[in-house]
Amino acid sequence: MIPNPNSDELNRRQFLNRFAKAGISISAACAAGFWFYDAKGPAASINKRSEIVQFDFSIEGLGQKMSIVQGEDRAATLRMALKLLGGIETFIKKGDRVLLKVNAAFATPAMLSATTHPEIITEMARLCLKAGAASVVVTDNPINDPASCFTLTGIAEAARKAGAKVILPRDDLFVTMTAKDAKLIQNWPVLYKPFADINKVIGMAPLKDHHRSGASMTMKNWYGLLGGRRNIFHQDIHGIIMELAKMVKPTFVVLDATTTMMTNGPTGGSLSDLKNTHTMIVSTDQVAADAFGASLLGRSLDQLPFIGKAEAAGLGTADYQKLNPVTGSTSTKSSSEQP
Amino acid sequence: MNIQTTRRICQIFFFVLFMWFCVVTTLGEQWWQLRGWPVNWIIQLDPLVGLATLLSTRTVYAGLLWGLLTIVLTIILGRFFCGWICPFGTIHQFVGFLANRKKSTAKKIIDNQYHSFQSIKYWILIFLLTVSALEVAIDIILLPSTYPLLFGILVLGLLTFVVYIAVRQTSMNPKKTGLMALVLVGVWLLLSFLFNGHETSVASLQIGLLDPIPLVYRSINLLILPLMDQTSLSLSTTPRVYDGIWLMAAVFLSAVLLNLAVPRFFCRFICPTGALFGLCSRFALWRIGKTKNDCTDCRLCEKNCEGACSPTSQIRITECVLCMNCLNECRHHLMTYQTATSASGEIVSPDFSRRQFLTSAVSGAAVIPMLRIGGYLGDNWDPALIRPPGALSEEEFLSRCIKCGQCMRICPTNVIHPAGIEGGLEGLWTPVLNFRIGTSGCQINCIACGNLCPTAAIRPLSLNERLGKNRYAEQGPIKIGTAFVDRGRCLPWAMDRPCIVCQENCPVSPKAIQTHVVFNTIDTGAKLIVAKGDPVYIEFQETIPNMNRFATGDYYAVILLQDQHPRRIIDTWERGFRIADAHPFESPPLPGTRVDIRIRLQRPYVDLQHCIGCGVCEHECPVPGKRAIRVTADNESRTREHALLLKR
Amino acid sequence: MIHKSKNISRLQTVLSMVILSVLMIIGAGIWIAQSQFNTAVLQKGAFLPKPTQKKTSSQLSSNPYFLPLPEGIQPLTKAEIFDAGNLSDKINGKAELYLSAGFTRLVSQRFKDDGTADLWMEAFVYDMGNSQNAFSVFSTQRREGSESLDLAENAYRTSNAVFLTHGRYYVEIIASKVSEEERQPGKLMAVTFIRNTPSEKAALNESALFPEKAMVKNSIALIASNAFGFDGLDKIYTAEYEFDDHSLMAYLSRRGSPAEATKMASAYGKFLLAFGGKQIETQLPIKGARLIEVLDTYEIVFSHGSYLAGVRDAVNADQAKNLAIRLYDQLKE
Repeated sequence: MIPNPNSDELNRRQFLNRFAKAGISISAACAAGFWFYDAKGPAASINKRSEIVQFDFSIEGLGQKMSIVQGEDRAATLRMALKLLGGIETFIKKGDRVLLKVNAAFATPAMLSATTHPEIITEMARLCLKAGAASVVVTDNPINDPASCFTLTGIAEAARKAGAKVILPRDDLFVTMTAKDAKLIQNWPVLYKPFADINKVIGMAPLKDHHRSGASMTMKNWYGLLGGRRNIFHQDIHGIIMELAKMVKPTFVVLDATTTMMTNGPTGGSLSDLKNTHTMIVSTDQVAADAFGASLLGRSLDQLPFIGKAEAAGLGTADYQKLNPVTGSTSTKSSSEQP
Repeated sequence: MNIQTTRRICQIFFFVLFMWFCVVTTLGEQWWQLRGWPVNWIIQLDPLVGLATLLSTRTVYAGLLWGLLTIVLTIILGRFFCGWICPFGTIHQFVGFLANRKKSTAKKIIDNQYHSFQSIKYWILIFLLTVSALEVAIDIILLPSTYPLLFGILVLGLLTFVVYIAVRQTSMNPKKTGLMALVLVGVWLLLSFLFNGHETSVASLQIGLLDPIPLVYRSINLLILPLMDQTSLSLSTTPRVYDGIWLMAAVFLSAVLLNLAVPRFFCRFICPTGALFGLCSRFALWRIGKTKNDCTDCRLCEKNCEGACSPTSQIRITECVLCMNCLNECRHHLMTYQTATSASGEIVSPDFSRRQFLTSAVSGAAVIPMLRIGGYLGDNWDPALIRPPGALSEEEFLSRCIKCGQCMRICPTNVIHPAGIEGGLEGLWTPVLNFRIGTSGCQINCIACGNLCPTAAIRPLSLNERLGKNRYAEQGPIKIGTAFVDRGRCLPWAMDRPCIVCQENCPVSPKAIQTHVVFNTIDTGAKLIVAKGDPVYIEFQETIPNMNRFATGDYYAVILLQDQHPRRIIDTWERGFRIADAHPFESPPLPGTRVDIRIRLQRPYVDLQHCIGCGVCEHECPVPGKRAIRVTADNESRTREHALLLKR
Repeated sequence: MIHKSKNISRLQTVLSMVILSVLMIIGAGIWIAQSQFNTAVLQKGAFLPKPTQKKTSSQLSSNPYFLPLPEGIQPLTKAEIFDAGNLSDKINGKAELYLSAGFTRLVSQRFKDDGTADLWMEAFVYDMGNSQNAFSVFSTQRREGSESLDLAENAYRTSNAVFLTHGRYYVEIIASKVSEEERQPGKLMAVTFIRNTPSEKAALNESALFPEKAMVKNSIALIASNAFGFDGLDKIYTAEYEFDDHSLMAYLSRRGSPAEATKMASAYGKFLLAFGGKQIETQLPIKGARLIEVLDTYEIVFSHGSYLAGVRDAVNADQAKNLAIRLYDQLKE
């Protein structure tokens, strides 16, 4: 029995040491426990309210304008259409960051007119940059594989030629959100991040027949901002087009009716589906643009309920004559104005 | 009273309490049924459940706060839970006792030697905690971009620390520390840039696989009690059935039988909760140890040492489970439970190197993201994965489910089963519904599973929310899936046999199964040419084989080319039949006209708007093998991406 | 050493006592907890029905409609009350008929008759809100070829049951078997009911307005809503007629105002035309009447004053016109 002479002293010091450390651990544990305490539990996922959003890029005080130009050369008719409204400078100012929302839905060659024609993308980007825009980006969420779509349609090359950047719809660029006053676009992934530092948005769509909605024009162009399994919205196609038009108020829209897809839309697939209507429309009122486009397709407004719904929601006017559209033509090299 | 005896009483108390909790987990008001028994209490006392869910959900949910009490007491007392409370530990100790009591003292002492493999449980703990902690880890990695101010402060603090040790000239090399700090900050910034903008959640709760409390709960509830169902002590009217139980049985049996090799095998080598307690007991105020360094090394204290903590030499505090067996074994009364450290020394850290720690952590961090490349949380989701009503969306669900099996136990119709790997490996033993087995579908008025789930992986619903009534009327009832009619197997669709059992049993109002009525011509094997006829009787020229099969009330007669209105046959004899009085033939059929006998079939189709996926139809469908109407998880309320209809 | 072991064992004893008391407190706490039922258990009663009694209905201590009971008749069960919410629990699919006709309450009870062996009856008293609604459910369920009784305004019996309306009540008394003897327990119950229940003053009964000649006996019915497949038509009295082996139907309904009646007539006419009907030019002494041929039958629809009226299901235009004119004459008076 050899007693340890220092044992009592040492033990007490060790004990106090442990006591202090135990005390600190207990306090830390209790603090963590009560800080994170959640008596209620998780809410139902579908009840989670996501951010309410509206994309408003319209220019205040500009009023509603529309121009309609006849001609074969897309770049030329586009230039004239803008010139008739006061030139690109009316819309794009120095330092603006512009986003072109194009239709790149299918991986088809440009001549089949299922997608936005690369010529007008190059021209628009060029004009914007000439007007002093700081940057121009081009984006869409295609139906087919994104990379192939942008390449095979020629849109990627068109953008690059003019110095614009293509933004492919990566997963992390989508944000789940609810559009303002929307019943359908609720807690839905939307291609939101490309818009983060943009201040001007131009919608560019070809004029097409569409089996489900009757026509695919500038309002339906915004469908390309939806992510997820967006096909479900086809169950209320006219409702969703109206909500898309409500969600996005662009600076202006371009409706390319140079070669219109008259039948078998939206994919078309044969040159026999196309007709050379040789028209370019630029408008700040997308409802009016679509209403005019309907006439070129040979559809009455009754056959396109989404136009009526959009008008009833106050998003524009279907009676495009009220806008006093300025008309012109590149072939005769003369322009006329309607009083 | 001997403290050993008290320990045994305490173990028996908690074991009986635990078994009682298992027995009463049946929905009902009888004394032997659920009533208000706090059946989840022992799960809630387990701090590893609380800690792991804290890491994966950033909350301590309701009753899991009890784990705090256990942690506090462990910090003060040591691993008392293992030796006094844990029912799984009690089972191991008892089986070990039975298996080893005939062994010689020397053999027992050898069996209770500390083995370096006892540190495996720490690897398991770190691995499982890292898997749960990925969410928090990503939060920390993204700190530079989300809270740059806080990040700045932390970096400043680190720099201050480096300067401090440089000035103070402590044992740490300031240059090396400084370099390491710089590398850390650099890597941190790089990682935060890499992960920026990705919305994926990566945490997964896998603690339930090896945590002893969920393990013992599901083993007793889903394995042992159903065995009792075969006897007269049955707790349910029909014997309970659980699909995929083989793996659980294998794990449970192995754990229990390994006690024959080494006592308390699971506790010493595998149990992650024990590992957690071990880590928390380093500051314990009281510990087992020798009062004096007077030991003769007889090692009798190790004869019944449950934790294999080598009390003879330097006692390992992290392994000691406070069984108190050594106290009275020592012939010299040296062993006691004291505030002083053991006279022959003690070890407070587990035998766990930094390298082993990093290996476990890195594997834990890698495993879940790798598994998820399988896409089962995205497009590759399994439509057979029908979760109970009230389950959260799959990612949140997997970060909360501890696989305790309580929902499977309480389900009154026995339709909730432990999943195999159909939900991905992460989904092993999570609840999934199978309507072919059990006593009925998911009862429309039942809210049991959610109100029992200890971690709210299945939310506790109110009946109003489940049914979509009152303030939940706008979002409608909770749907767990949709039924689809298999027209190739359905009796009225494919086999000309009347049946609408599915519609009869559909519990919602208005019914979610509607029918189209058709009349299909039957080939009677004879030409039905009228010999005589009057407004209600027809007699044929030939006898017809088996005429009586047409008297069931499902068969109708149509006079061809004259009258297309089918009239019900109510009675037959071998030459003819009688039709119902209600609709006699306006003009009796003339001799020589041909008559058709048609069977009236109601062909079911599902009304998508109203179907809630409860599975009663699938359960009742008389096609016994692969049912002719089956539910899949399409249109389930909990996941918007699985919606079928635009308006729910 | 022994000293030490005594000390130690005292310490152990004290500790043991403390620990055991903690265990007892835990046990007590759990015992208290078990009396606060889990939410899921509180809901359980709603879906696993007890085999003997339906907890979904509420009970009456006595059934006022049949007291005092006729001699020899005893109650077999307690009386149960059902309202619109749980009516289908009692009568299943038939509930729809009553609910769309203004149903407010059902009191049902079973009785046994000492006077007749093996016979028990179930009496259903439906409170339909008003006599029109009661007549509606009575007439639409009337069994063909049944024997009329004159103990109430509208009553008939079949081999084992008695059906009647009395004021706003529709009563069914259904026996478990046919009663051969003189003693008719069902009728006795019906008489008791009528004696106990004050009848409200009957509103002007449109059924009296139908022309009597050639009307099929006891064919007057009241369709509460959705008559003839047209949404707007409710509270339509109908009667069947037989001319020369052809059957057709006349109908009329009192609307709120003449304007309403005209509007309804025009709406129904439009409905028929939209359905593929063709209007036929014809001379009728009825102002505003239209003759429409639809689905191989002829229909005439018109309004007079606040009444909407017409004829339908006629195979022969002349017969239709004939009946319409007679109906019009009745209305004019």
